[in-house]
Amino acid sequence: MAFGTLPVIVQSVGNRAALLPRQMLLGFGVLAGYLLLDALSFIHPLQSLNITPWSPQRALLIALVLYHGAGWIGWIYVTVLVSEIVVGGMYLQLGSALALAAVLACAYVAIACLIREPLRVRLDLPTRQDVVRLSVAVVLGAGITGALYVGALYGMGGIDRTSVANAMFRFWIGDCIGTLVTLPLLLLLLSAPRRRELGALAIKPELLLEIAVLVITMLFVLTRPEADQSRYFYLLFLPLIWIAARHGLAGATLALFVVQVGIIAATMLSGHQAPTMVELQTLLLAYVLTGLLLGATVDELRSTADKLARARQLTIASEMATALAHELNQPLTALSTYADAIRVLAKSGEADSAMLAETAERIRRVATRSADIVERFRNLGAPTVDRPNPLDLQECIAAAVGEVRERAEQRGIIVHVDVSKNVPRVRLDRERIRFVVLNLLSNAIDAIGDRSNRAGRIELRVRRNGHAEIEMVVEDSGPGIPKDMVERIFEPFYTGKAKGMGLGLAVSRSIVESHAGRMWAEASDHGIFHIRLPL
Amino acid sequence: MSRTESKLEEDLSVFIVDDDADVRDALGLLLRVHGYRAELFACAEAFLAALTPHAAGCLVTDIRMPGMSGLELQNELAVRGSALPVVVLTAHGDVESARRALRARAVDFLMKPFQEGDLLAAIRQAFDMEGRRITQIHAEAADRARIGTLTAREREVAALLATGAQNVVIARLLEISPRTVENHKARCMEKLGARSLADLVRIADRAGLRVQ
Repeated sequence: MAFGTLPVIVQSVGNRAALLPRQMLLGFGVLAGYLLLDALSFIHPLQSLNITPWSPQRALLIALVLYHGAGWIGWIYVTVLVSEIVVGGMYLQLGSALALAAVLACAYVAIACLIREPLRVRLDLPTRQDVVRLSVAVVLGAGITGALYVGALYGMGGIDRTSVANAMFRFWIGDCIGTLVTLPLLLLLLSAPRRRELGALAIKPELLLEIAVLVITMLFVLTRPEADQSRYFYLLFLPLIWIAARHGLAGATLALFVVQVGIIAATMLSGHQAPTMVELQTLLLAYVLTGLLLGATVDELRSTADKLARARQLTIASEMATALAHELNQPLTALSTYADAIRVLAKSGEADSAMLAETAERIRRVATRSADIVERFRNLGAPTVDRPNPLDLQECIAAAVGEVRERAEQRGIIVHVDVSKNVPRVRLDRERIRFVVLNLLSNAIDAIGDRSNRAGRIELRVRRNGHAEIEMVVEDSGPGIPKDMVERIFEPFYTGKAKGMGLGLAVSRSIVESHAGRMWAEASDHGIFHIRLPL
Repeated sequence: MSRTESKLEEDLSVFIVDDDADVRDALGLLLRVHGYRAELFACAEAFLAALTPHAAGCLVTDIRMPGMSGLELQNELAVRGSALPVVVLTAHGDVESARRALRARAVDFLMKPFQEGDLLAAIRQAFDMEGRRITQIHAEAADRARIGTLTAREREVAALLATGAQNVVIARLLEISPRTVENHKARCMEKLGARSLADLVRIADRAGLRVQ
């Protein structure tokens, strides 16, 4: 910390604080919160010093600096000083208290600055990296703070030489646990989207059930004889892992808070001996780090999955935009040509009104056709609802078959559909799945058309397979896909047909993959396409 | 424009092949209001079925169609020995098709939606080509008809004159007198409507008259 600039900063903060009631409110709020937390956690003090198994109050000061800057160092000093005197009691002379408060205030501001600048931790803790860096800053910071604090205490004769190492360790672990439990929770509460996440989570029945399991496990562990508690502590990991896996960092911080409060309450009631207390604390530190890292990992995994889903949506959107442009090109060509014709007619003066009226009618018809194309694409491209309604696949497939029936019959192609009874209703986007089926059937008809000397047949089979998937197979009597083409045909703008943009299969695969499914073609002497959709 | 040429133009048609009914209809209307005779076909196969050896004018075809594509149609015309000029239409961005169409001697390649002026210019260019081709066909036919009026001896003399032989040489080859050669030559020029010896040589050459 730049001590040289300290007075200036303190002064400037003092001025601003005097001017702004909001800052005064913040200052006194932090002071009150610090005193309250310090008093509540002032249990099992080491040699009646303010070194306790749990120091959550420091998190408030770190959060204050993280959000409002190091300029608050003066106020932090006052807060720590008042707390050392009021909560720690009159065990110190005023001079010692002033010095120790200075050590603590500088140390916590330094930790906060470390988190903010060189480590650049994002304050809503979105990734594992942020949580790891925050933890490293806290663990190292608490160690150095402990060394300075206990060293100063020793220098002033407040502690004898044999207790120094033990005091440092106790200070370190108490600070680590207190800050690691409180600071992430506090940071989540201070970030608006994370606050909403926590709010939504807190009223979830599922979380209440999980917390209940956690509390019961904790009661079981803490009601064991004191010597056995460490042996059973590992049981507490199970509900924590469960909660972190289900709800990410938000869930993990809530669970850690519950466990911390529970353990503090239990030790206050039972009056633990120092050795078992330290053992429990060490376990707790591992517990806290596990919860935070697992929670952050789960968050990161989810946000990656979300990004991937959004990227897929974008792919679909851009492919469909291109397809739409292609489809609209024909009616647009017709429209502009009609317009040219009308202009020529009008100029020539030979135009009779009946002919103009008829041409206008044709223009209207082509415009309607364009609108239909747009409408069809709109249905297809409508953003998927988060959880689409359960879909009757049989009905959806029947609709798609209905759309190609006429074309198939004209070419003497038999379409045979077999949807197994064991196919349940599934949450799929009806319009998009219909598009996929329609596209496959349409391709099959075109493929058979290419060898019209044969009687054509299309088979569409749907069943539920043993891997909790819906398995759809479309086979046709067309020439099939050669081995070197089975992947190429899914590339956008690859087409084997004179008509068509070569987008149908690309869009279809995007759609299937956006439902977490797979789609591929099988190399064979006749057409075979496979789709798997998870239930 | 001379009388024969404008009469020729009346015999030319624009053949439109496009599977899109609206585009086809609109194109037909536009060309008719510009005074062209337009014949519409929904697919390449239908056009080929209706194609006669005397068809003249211009083919305007879409590239992507069910069944035979526009490029395949272009090839098929070449195979059948049809010299009908072809204007190709397509959706945007199809560079490869454009390249192939132009290499197969398409008159022009237009992106849909095309500009009216571009289409008319392409058709005008195609009709000019057709006009020249048909004029030449007619001239050759007329030459052949005139050659047909020559006697066997006159034909020999004309063929030899076309090789650049002198009267005396011809007389010796045909074992007739130079005087007789001169007489045959005069009658040939009269019957073929040649104003000079050079004219006669050109007509004989164009009509494929060769020394036996």
